[in-house]
Amino acid sequence: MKVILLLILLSLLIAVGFLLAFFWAVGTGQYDDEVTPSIRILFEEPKSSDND
Amino acid sequence: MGTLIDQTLATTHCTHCGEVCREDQTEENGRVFCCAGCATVYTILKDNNLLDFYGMEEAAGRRKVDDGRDYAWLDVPKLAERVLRYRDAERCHIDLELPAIHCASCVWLLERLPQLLPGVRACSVDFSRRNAAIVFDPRQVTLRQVAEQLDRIGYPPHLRTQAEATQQPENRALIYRIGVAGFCFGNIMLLSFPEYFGLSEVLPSALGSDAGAEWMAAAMGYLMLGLSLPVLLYAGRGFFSAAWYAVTARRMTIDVPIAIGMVALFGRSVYELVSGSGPGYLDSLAGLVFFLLIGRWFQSYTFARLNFDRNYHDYFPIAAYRENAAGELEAVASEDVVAGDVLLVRPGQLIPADGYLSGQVPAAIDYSFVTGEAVPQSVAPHAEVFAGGRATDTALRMVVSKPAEQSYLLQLWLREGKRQELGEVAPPEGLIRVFTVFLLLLSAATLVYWYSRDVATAYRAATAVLIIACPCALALAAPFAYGTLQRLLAARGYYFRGPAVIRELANTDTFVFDKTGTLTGEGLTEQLHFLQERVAFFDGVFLAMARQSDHPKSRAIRAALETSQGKLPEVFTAGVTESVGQGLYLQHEGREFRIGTPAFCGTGALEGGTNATVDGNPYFQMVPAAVNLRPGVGEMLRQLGKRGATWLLSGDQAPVRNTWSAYLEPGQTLFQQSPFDKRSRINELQAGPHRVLMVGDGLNDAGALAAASVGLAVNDDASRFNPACDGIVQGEQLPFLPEVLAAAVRLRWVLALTFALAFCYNAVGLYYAVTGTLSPVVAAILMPLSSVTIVVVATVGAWLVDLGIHRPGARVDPARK
Repeated sequence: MKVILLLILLSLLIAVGFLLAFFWAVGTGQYDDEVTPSIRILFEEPKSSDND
Repeated sequence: MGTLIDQTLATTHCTHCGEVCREDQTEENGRVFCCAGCATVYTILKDNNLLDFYGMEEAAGRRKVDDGRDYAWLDVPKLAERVLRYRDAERCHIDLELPAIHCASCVWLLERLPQLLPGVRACSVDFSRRNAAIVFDPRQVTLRQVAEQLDRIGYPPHLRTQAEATQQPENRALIYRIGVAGFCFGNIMLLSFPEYFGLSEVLPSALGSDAGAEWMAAAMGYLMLGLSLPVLLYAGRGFFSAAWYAVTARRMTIDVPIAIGMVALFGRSVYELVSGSGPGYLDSLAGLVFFLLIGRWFQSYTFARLNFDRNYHDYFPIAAYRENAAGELEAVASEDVVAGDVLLVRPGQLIPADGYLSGQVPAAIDYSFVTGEAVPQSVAPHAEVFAGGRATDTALRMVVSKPAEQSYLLQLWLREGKRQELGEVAPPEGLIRVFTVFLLLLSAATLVYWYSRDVATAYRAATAVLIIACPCALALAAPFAYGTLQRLLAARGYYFRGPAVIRELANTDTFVFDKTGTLTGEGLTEQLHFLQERVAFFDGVFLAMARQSDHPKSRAIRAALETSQGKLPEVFTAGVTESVGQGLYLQHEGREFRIGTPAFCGTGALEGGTNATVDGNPYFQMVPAAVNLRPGVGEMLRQLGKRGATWLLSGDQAPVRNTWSAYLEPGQTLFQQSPFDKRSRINELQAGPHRVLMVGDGLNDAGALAAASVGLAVNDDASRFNPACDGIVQGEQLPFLPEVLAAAVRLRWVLALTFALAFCYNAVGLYYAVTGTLSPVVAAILMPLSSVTIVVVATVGAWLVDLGIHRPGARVDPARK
């Protein structure tokens, strides 16, 4: 039954991974502008390939 | 459908901006444009295969207005460096504010700037801040070309030096803290589940031995302890430092009882875990910190688009044009202008320093923003001009006597210093003091009572009192109530700097208004007061005379005559003579017509202003326009009059008849108030003691806005400049001010209700605590439950208060998205 402790620790480790991912997302400014990306995603990609 | 009908009816809409075209429309390739500017933008887009711009949104373009912007100074490296964020030999980064950004098409077009202008590497738009971050290659394109191209396609950049570029208050530290607190709170709760469901009693049988269960409980306990350390030391550290600061300053803030509660929670939990006597209250601790941080975050909400902290640097140009020894113009930084410099100010540009006109030409200068005087002033050669005025028709040459920093009109702003911060909304200090003292006394009494009976229970009960009575509810109610109302009012065109402003608004009892731009909208500022029977022929002659002069008074006469009823006869006139600074003279069909000063017209008996005479007999006189009130403002003034004293402080000349007496006490309408007069009047009223709400719009109100308890700036266009203030109101929403005030007052009842609820929760909790029967499970349920109820009641209450605002306020600009 004590093995449950190992499972708890493993699950905590995964959760810490998500916490770090959250820190990374905030740190790289992904929450700074919450409006424009929602507009940008609706634009069509230009058909011609001359746009680098 | 609309376009079809419009075409058949021959009213055409501009292909670019969608405005109805007037006579001066231009046509290109079968498409109609309202002006050359719109046609230019269309051509640029067409040449670059960017016509998709029009497919995305109707009337995607903005009409291009030219008002004397110029970017030549950006070629001076020293000046360009000040606006760049970063530069090296290969790339430059710049953040530009583009107030014209208004729809999705704008984002699309601007982010294709690299296609429009070779050398631009990237352009990334932040829609809510109206900002574009541009990277360009200085070897291929200059900053000036970037700015000019943006202007050409209809997005004139607002250039700021990097030092002034508003640093968005970074709330990242708070968000990290919330993340940590939430993470630990969730995991500690998960680990507490066996306790919640009473599994600790079942566990021994499941595990087969008491020792195994004990070992398990201890392991879980230390895990929770480990998880609570980041909460205490990182996420909740702010509460301890704030409490310490308050205690050393001999003040009482909400942080003090919070810190006491946190210490009690943690200490008690550590004791229970180490002694193995119980599971502790660490879930409550983590939950408390998590909820409090969310409350703090809710309070720190800002309107990204609005800037409440403008200073004169935002208004003034970065560069000025100076004549050097060789008589050539060179761009210099406005701060580097010194006394004795000769400057050229083009039409539409701001005068960057105090000085006097050189040259023989008089100039018309618009001081409306600085002094509140609505009518442009005519300045004679060699007369003084002041920084902050705007050259209207002609370029003017001036010799600087004082640089902007020492300018007469700007002293008001410079001396004012920073506005005091309104800070966070917290319960009144007295209430916290009573609460904290009561809490400590009750805890001590409990300890004394139990000590003689059962020492263990004594310590448990005494700490339980401190734990359960933690002022979570007190701390959360106000931020959520005021914060919610702040967001809801924003949808009605009232933007407040922070929740605390709304609380302060409820306390105001004296209301002071500026006139021009605040109570009155755009439009005629002067009207003609006829002194004899009107004759259409005379009107025609005066109109013709006025058309031949570009003096601001002439233009005002022109506007007034053109809008008067009936068509005036076209009169052909020749030989109008203009005496500079005096007036116009014309002999026509045997009569003498004069427009000008009383001395010029020979009407010394009439006081002030501009007169017009026919054969020496007074015909009309210019008077400030009666009242060109915004709709609904009269009723608003009447309603405010019932709440408290209402004042009008205007920079204009006193009108011939005081039409304001219909709305205001005659003694409380003051005219010819300088910016300094306005501020000292506010200070006088505040010393009264009254709490003053000042409503103004221009630079001339800046001092008064800062001096008042609450300073509200009226603005017709959110991207326009407004002085430093506590809140911004959309012009057309101003009439609902009494409703907003009433809502702010009503919100107090919501707060009272939440405090009553918090009291009930505390009473129940304290009963368990004092009797020594508070179990961690009860605490774990009661504490989050009370926090959540308070938050819900405060939010719903604020929402109901907002609904109580009369319907008309709800129709907020459907045009603006």
